[in-house]
Amino acid sequence: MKRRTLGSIASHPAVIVGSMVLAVVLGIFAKPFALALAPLGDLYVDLLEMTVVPILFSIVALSIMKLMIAPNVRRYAMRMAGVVPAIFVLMTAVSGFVAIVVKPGAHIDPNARASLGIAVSDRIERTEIALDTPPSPRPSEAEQIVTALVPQNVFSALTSGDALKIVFFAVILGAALGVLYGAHYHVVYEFIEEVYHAFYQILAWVIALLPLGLLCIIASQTARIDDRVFIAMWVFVAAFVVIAGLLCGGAIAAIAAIGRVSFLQAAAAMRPAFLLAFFTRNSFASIPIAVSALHDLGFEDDASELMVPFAVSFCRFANAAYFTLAALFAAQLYGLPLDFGTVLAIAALAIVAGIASAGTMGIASLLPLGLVMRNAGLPFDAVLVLFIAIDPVIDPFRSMLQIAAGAAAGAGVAGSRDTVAAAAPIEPWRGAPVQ
Amino acid sequence: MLLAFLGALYTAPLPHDIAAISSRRVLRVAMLDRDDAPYYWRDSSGVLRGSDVDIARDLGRALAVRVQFDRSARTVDDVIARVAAGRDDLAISKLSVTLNRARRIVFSNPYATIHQALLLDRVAYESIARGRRLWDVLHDYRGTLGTIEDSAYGTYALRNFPGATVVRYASWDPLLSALERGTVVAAYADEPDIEAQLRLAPALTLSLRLVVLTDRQDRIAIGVASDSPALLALVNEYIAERTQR
Repeated sequence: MKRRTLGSIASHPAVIVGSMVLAVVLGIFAKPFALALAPLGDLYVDLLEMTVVPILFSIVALSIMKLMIAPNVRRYAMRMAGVVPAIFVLMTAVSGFVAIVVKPGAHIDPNARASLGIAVSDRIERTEIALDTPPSPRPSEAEQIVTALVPQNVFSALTSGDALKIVFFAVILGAALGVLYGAHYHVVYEFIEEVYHAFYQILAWVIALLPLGLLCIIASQTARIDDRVFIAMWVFVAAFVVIAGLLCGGAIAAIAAIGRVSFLQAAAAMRPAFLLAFFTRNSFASIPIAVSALHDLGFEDDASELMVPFAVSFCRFANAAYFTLAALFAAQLYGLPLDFGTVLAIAALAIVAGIASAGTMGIASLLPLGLVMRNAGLPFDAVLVLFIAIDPVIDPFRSMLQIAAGAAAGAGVAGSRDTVAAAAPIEPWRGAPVQ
Repeated sequence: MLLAFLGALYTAPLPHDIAAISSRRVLRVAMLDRDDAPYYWRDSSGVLRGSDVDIARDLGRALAVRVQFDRSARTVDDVIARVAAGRDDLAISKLSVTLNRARRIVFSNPYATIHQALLLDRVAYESIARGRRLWDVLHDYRGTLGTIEDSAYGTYALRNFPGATVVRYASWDPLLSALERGTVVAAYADEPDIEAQLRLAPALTLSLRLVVLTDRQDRIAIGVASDSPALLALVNEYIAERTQR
């Protein structure tokens, strides 16, 4: 039921595309009205984001629990250990290759540089410093990682929306519950599962309003767009569209190969998930559709139900690809030499930063890029302003790529139902003992 | 007889420094011969404008004399020297107060206070910072620092960045080129000046970063000859009233 509601919207892209076109027209030709729609657009984004924390938490906790109680835990874990790094490496490799070939940062003429400079100076914060007042001492790198990861108070972490802490808590709780799962410990598992389903129902209701919501968001964003920045960075945007296209195509090909179906079949099955992620700029929303698409293609259910949510929320493949492109763009923009070692270092840092952006959405997911750039000796503050400015166009592609990569990861771990001897499925607790 | 006596009391003689200006009927103001908006500049029709120009004219009105702008000075030292030697009455030229200059003339109270600031080349900064925080890098700064030759910033650099290697440039053009080439990592000047440069060439913001030093002030004051106490008092009174407005 919920699948159909989400899927039916996404499988009528005509309505959505129509509202997007109307929104762009309004944004260009009816600016005051479009700007007035901004609060409604913000409201819609808030409604979408409202579902993120409960879904993120329950998805990760459930995935870990399933992993712990699944009879073939070992096989899943080993496959995951192979699939996840492989996908990360492929993401950064393709992205790096395109970045080096296309050189988006090297073709910025003086006029475009001036536009970018104006855009940066309009938006960047002044740096103020008091020479006589030392700032509070900074904790060591190790301390910083621990502070970022481990919540002091799990409930305040949940309310703060700090994605990394929520994910960490969910992993730990899922592991504990998975270990305890048995005759006496199953209520919380079912509770979390029901929370998961409930919030997906809420999400389905919100997505029913997608045409209206998109109209408001896109109209106000178009009215506010600084077209100079886009014009100056069009090569960069185009490069990422190409990267996303190549990698999404690769994901579909991988799914087709593993599931032993044709490319077109796989593409048709995955299309609703891709479109929904693209239009909502939210990869979470598409997870159930992606899982059911894999089911339709004949993949093993338990593994895909376990792997896809975890991969999409935790393994930020799309961000790793984007960070690679962004860092190489900045290196070209600032005229820094790019030898093989530097590119490799940037790719590795992009993978780490991709993991660090687990659970984040939208502009917040750009912040770990600073990790990549600072460690590569690249200035971050000015280009961050530019990346934020173009994010409304980049985010849909990033979200779509994330669901594609997550689905491919699920396919890689699951394997086809025909070829794998079905293991005992994970049953909701009904009094039967679990081996 | 009584009226004459009372009349005499009301026309008490002026202090000698102000009297000299009154009898001459002109207030001579030494001002550098360049353009430094918004303090002083010649507009497209050749008219002298700016806040320093307005101050000079206000003082002229206060003394009931006309104002003559002496633009013959090429450097700040020249401006100071002209006042010290008595060839001009006041030095009004966006002058920063420094101890060295205060040896030769007397400074009024500041009529403007601006922040000192740095303009960092972003890429060069990253390579010397090596992951340290901005404060840690600046606090014991040992890199290169570019200053404009005829400014107070060479002096300020000795005090605030004693470990730095200071390189002087004749004007902003060579200094900006040096920043771009990486010859110097940072430029040291006042905040409005740097902001004006960034407005002139917006593309620079991509590669150059403005850092404002909130606890380092550049005080701008009027220079008066050391033997003109009454004139100094008048100027200070004017400045007090001006800042109250």
